[in-house]
Amino acid sequence: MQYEAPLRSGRRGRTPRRYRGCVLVRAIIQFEKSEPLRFIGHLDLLRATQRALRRSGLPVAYSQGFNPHMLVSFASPLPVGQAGSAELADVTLRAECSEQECLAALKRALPPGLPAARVRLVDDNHPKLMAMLRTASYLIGFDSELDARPILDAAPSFMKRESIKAVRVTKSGETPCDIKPMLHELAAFPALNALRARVSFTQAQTLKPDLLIRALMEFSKAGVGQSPALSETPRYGVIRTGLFGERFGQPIPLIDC
Amino acid sequence: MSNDGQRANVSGEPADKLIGRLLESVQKPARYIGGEVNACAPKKNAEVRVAFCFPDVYEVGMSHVGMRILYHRVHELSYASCERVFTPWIDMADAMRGAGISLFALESRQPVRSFDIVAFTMPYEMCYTNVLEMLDLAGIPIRSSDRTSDDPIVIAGGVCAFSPEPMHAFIDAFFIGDGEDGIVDIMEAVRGAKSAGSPRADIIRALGDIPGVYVPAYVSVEYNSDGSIARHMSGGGSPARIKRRLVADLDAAYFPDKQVVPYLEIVHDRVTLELFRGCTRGCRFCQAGILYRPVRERSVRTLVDQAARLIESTGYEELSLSSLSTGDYSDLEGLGCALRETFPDGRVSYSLPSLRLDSELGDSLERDARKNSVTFAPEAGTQRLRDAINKGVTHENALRAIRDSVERGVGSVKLYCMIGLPTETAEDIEGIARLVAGLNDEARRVARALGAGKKPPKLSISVAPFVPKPFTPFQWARQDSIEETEHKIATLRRMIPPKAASLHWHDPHLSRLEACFARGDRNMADVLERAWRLGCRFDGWTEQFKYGVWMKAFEQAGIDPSQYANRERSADEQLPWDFIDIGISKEYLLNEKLRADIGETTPDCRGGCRGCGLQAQCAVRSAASFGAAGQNPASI
Repeated sequence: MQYEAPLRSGRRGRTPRRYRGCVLVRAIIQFEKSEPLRFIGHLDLLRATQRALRRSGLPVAYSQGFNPHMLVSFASPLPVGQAGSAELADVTLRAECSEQECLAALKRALPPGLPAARVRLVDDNHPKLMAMLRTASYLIGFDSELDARPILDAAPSFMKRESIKAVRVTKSGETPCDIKPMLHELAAFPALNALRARVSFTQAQTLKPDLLIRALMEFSKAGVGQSPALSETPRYGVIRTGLFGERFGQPIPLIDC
Repeated sequence: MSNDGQRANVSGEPADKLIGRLLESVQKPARYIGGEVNACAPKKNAEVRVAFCFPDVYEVGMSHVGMRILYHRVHELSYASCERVFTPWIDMADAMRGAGISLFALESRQPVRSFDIVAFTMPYEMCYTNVLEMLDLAGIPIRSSDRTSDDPIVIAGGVCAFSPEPMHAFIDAFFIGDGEDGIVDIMEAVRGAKSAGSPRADIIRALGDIPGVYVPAYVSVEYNSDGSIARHMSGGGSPARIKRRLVADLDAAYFPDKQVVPYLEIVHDRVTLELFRGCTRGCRFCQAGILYRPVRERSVRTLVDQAARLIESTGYEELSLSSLSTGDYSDLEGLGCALRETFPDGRVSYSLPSLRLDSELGDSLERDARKNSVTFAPEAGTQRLRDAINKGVTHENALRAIRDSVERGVGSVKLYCMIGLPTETAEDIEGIARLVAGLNDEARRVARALGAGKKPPKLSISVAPFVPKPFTPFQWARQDSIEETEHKIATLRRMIPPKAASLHWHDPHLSRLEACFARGDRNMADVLERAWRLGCRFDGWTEQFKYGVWMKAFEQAGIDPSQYANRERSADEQLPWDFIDIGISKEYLLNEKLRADIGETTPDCRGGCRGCGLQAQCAVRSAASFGAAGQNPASI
């Protein structure tokens, strides 16, 4: 199997694990979590995936120990209510099978609301998806009944700012922060009444779409666009459209990292 | 039966979008989304569309095996479409009312009102207010008499349909008994009448001709001068008699080869096999043990075949071997071997949910299960009372079970007992505490003897007030008053130190209402409607149960609950469910009651027929291996 040169010291370089004499391989599965399955929680998704894998007949590897469980993980959990159009699962297999076979088996077994789009097989010592994750892209669609144009209009000048002060509200209180370093791309699509954003998504730095919209709303109230400012934030829905790693400062889809 | 979509709601938005918005603000939105693996695809142009309603939340209803069977049974008919509906939790129900969204089916999100048949299963009495809640959320008048030709036909079955009178005002037709074939008869009848253009009232009347169906509008009750029931009369002027339906051969009976795989974790989140229906033990408090007589087993071959299909089509890795008393299956060893052969990789685990203390399991599947907790149901604290209720287990059975638990390293043991059973005395209550102490001593002794890090399991004990149920030998008995029950609970709290076992008890107020509705007559419908109008719903959920409001409803209706719960019935009284013929003779039940009074046990009927009335249908009786052939039931 061919790989790009390692970027970091991950688990790459270690001897691959073995299971009953078989070399383990990992399947990275790109799938969609769409309407209405955006309403299921992460544990529900994990259970649904495990059951689908059992129905698929794929040679999924189990953990050793007293209560063996399937070796399945996800690049990043989605909050309940948020849809994802290119989510990633990571499944360890105990026997070789082609990417096409694997995808076909998954397409048969996954529920209709979780269609698989692509499978990439990697060595067992390939770094964990979560460790390579740097940014995530979102499509933020506003409801049509309230024109979101003032917010969309504000996006270009918002993006040009050197720094953007915002207040992050967490359980432990309110923390002022600068969100600009976490905002990598922001584009408006007036025809769709939507914004596309790519933001930081690491353990140290994560910019949530809600905070971005709140900051953008505040900014638009200051009156940059031609249209009069909105008094309240229009309702919007969020779709996570991609998860990215990084190579030479460029975003690379996580599945290809 | 109009086929309109959701009626224009407050904001004029399409219903689908509004539902999506409601889901963003409620707890557990996955309860309302459907779309699970093996869920049926709605057939838009089906001749008969059925909304199968369960009067509790999704996680409870999805665990109900009867609903699983009938959902697929109906949908597999070429001309029919079946969809599921559960009671929206309080937050969702209120949000739906606020947004003008009427109750919708999970699969198509079409309003329940637009279906031809709205079918409820009623598994316990405390779900009754939820039936009214669902009808109201659907925009269907809650009383049958207020419904018009546009409304669906509302039918109901399940264990509560055996004593249907408290619900008679709200249900157009009840189905009593095993539903696998009866539901098809109902479907055929509605299909035929619909295509012939019959009016709704005629369709409902025609349902009354189907065996097992009770149409309350065409059965009247005659009363004696003192207000007690004289008899139930059919429309034709003859005494009404509704015979329950019985599926004689479970191997031949319908059983789906798939099971909906929910996203949410439901109460019984596993594949369920029904090993057999019925029970031969004859515990005198147990309603299911009588209602589902005679015992009808599925063969090992059928069960293994069903298990293989279900495990394959669901991806579950746990299999529940369910029945009223799984240890009594005639070939548990054989079933265990066959299942291990079918699933050789050890990935499938087994649960045996109802095992008796005295079951001889030997090298059975239960040994595979690495269970950290086990449950025993001695039901009563003394041998005398266990004999009176015909539970049959002995103190030695309990001691052996606890020894076994210590040896297997079980972490906790749960005990179930009832209080307020007929013939109970103070000594029997103290007996519960003595039983706990005895089990603790034995557990400690065995743990010490075994050494090697074996610890005695933690004991917990749940006590439930006795609820007299129709069609049991105790159907005439009185229930303790709340004060009596509370006194007994206080005694147990005093006698069982927290160190010995943690004591839990079922709310006596809730048990009192269960007793009122289990043995209720037509007058209870009024109480029920008032309670629901006063805001009662989800009564089975302790934190939602409002006893004070219920008492207000009784008061408004001018009905004294103690007349239902705490009054001993005389043997010659006409009981509200006497017109339902389940095949068990009243003489048999009465005889069992008398035997309880004198503390006489009645052995398991596999050892010889006890003449309950079902001899003609009973395979247990004819089975030569039980040696029952020569016995004359009359001599017992």
